[in-house]
Amino acid sequence: MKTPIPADMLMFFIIRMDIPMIETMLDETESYVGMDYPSFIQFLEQGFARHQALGDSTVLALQGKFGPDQKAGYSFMGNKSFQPFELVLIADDQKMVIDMNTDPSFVFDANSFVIQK
Amino acid sequence: MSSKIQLQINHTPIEDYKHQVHHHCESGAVSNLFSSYGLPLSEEMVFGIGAGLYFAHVTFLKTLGAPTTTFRFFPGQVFKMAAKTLGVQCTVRTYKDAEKGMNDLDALLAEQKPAGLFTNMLHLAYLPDIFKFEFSAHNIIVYGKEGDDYLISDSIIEFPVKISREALAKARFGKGFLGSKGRMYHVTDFNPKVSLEEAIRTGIRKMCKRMLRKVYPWGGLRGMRRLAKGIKKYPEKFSTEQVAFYLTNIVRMQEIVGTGGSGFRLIYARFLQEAATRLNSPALNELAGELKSIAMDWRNFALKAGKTAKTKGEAMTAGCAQLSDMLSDIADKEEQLYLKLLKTV
Repeated sequence: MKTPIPADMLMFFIIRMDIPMIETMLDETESYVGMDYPSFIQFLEQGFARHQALGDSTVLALQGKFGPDQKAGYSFMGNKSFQPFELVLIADDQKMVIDMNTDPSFVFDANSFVIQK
Repeated sequence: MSSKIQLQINHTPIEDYKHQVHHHCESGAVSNLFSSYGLPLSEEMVFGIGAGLYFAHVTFLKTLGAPTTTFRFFPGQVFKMAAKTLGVQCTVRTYKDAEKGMNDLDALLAEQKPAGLFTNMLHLAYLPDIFKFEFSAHNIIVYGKEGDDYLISDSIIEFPVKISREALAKARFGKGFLGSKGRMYHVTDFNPKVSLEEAIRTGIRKMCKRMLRKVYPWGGLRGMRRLAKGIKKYPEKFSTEQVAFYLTNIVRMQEIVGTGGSGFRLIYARFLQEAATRLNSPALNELAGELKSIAMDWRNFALKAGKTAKTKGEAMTAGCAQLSDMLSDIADKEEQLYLKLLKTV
């Protein structure tokens, strides 16, 4: 991807699994995660369908690290199933998404704030 | 037929506190707070009784660098209006001294009373960095304490969380736009004296009159029509980048900032549906359907704005003209809806 995307908006529409709004954020002439635009949209649709089948109404966006350099990024998991959605977003200091991948080494940061029941 | 509100009290408000996820922080916080006092009101009901629905486009006030567009009334007013209309007595305090503000919170929790707080999202430690931005009127409920940590119910996130005294103080007293000054609210006497039915009618009337009022050029339907005219002129007044930025920001405020989509219109439509059942009013149910259809128009407006923001030149000019027409059409439909609502209640 060449054109940065406002991270809060893209992440929110992914959280809501809102394909039409995600489409407005992406550039039809660009490729994402090594896929052309239609293939990437299809990848998202299939991923969302899987989560909806698992009973998720949204996906949670959480911070984490990936790769040998432990780079920081954001990925997603179902709000009920807690199954990961394998898409990693990398944002810059201006809160713009500058890259995406599906790195399987992504690990969510331990969230010390959540109350354990 | 109207009846006095019956409270469902089992334990103390803190023991009965249940974290529920909602779309809008203020309506969600009030819904969770009132529910803990034995009055289970949905987020939609709080938003409706609190006359939360609004529209304003204020060019002289910037949010994230763009003219402010809002689809709800001022922060804090939904709580104030809902409490007043329901006859719930509440205390709201602000503080100059952070230590005093934190000690007062401790005192409330010791009395087994949950407290509502205004916080700055920029300093809320538990939010992902990407969602931290300067907004000092984010509502959360504190419903307990474990050692020095506070138990927090933030209705826009999935789980209750726990943060330290220091972190909470920073979120309450951190400086910023709308400066929260550690604002804290709690219920002092929970014995609603009015019927829910009357509260619903009052909330609807208040919202409709506010939207129809022509006093402020930037507010209500007048503000919507003003923005419609303004969007048409965007391409001649601003650079392509600025137009894209302004349109994107309208989409952000409409679809993202706790609105539940379509600038709170979907939440309000669900309120009207709930109200129709409560008031046994088929007419109100029909108007809920009309608002759902208007909400779809808003969504189409957002989709078109998002697409237009990616264009240039003539395509952008044509896109802005279409957006202007869409918004004028929505304003006309909303005007008819509010007039009908006023007649119905």
